[in-house]
Amino acid sequence: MSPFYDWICQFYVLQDECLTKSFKPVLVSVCFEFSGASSSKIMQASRARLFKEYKEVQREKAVDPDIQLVCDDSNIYKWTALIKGPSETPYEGGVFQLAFSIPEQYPLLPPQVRFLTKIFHPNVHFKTGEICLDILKNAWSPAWTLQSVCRAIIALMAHPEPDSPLNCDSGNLLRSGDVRGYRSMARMYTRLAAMPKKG
Amino acid sequence: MVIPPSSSIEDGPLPPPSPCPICLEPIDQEAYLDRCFHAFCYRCISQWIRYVDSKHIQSVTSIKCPLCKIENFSIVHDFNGKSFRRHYVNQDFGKRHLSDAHDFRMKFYVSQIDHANDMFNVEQYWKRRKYFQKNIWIQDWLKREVQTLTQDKDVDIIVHHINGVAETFFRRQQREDNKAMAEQKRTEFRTLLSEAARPFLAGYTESFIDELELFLVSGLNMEAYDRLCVQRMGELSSGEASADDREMYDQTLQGRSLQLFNEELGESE
Repeated sequence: MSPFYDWICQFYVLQDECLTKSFKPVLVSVCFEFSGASSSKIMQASRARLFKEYKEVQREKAVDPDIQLVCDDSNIYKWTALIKGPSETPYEGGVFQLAFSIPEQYPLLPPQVRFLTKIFHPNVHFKTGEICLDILKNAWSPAWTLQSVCRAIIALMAHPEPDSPLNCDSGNLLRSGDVRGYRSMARMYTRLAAMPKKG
Repeated sequence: MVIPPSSSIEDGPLPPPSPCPICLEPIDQEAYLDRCFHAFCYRCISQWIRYVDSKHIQSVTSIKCPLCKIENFSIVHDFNGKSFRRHYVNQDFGKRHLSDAHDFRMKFYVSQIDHANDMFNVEQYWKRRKYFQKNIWIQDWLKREVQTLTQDKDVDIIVHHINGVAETFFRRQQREDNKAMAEQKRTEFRTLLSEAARPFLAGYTESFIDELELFLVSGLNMEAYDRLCVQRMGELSSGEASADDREMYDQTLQGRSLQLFNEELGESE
């Protein structure tokens, strides 16, 4: 996909240059052009930024062995990630798949992320994989990247917040102090869903 | 005291400038938040502020830094060694964009293009006292320039003040049969207007006076003068203007002056 997106980006840059070059103080017509282009400009911004992140991920691949981010072949707004369960947690040894769906207003709006792999965690919906994480909602900042969102999710796996549960069973176990019960359930689902089957 | 062997920190090449945290590109039009001093592209951070503001019912007065979450109240930008601008978070970002013409003029001022004195004969203007011919567009032009440089819509008082100083000066020239040298008059004019404008335009005063003089000397209307500036900007970026451009420009100028001529006739009828 890289040459294609390279080409697309170049095309947009060219288009941008043309706009500024042909700028003439024939004000009304120019105003018109700009207002028409504003929505595509936003798309262009998110595209450019995602492309930048793509390049960064390619470069950084070896740096963070716990995260593997992959962009969809045909759509730069769809990504998947494979993250390793953090050590000393019931998720250790598991590999979890995340699906990213990125809005056109990115990075003004956060990406939508959900677990594709089944996981037993108080802040992850057991059926849909939806994640309850403040930075994916109202604490979002445009300085976050897909990579850093993955890191935040890994941190959430290691430090569940049972007081804002999406998975009540899991939350209740932790809130009632049954850490052992929580761990064994989480471990079981990690084995079932996130680890290669033996034999 | 033992001086440690020279460290490689100073000798090493400068690290590449860190990119804008929002677009991840090299920073364009550097803008800082006023308390944490984190830097962003002006466009990126103001877009983010606009977005945060749009999510709240009442307009917000402070913004959390996207990097460190410290509350900030303004962004500092357009720092060019002489002056800077400050944009408060609760200032309406929508209104900041006055018009594309204003934006263009701002770009023009910021880029600090050499003032093309050779394009018009400034000397002749002062020697032959062409200033007795009043430029009827001066008021509108002043208004737009001052709006651009102060980024404020409501500038009538400043415009009135500057225009008043200029008019008084010209009127005095008319009354007094002044034998003073043209060059002296020019300096006097420039000093007077600098004084009038400086409290409002600060670091942009010099460029503003240069532009004001050129506009008066040109005798053009706003549109024609803008075209000229576009051309000057273009020359700067491309290094040379093609002969075609110049020709086209001359033609349009002629056309416009004809048109103006007709308009004047129409008015007098």
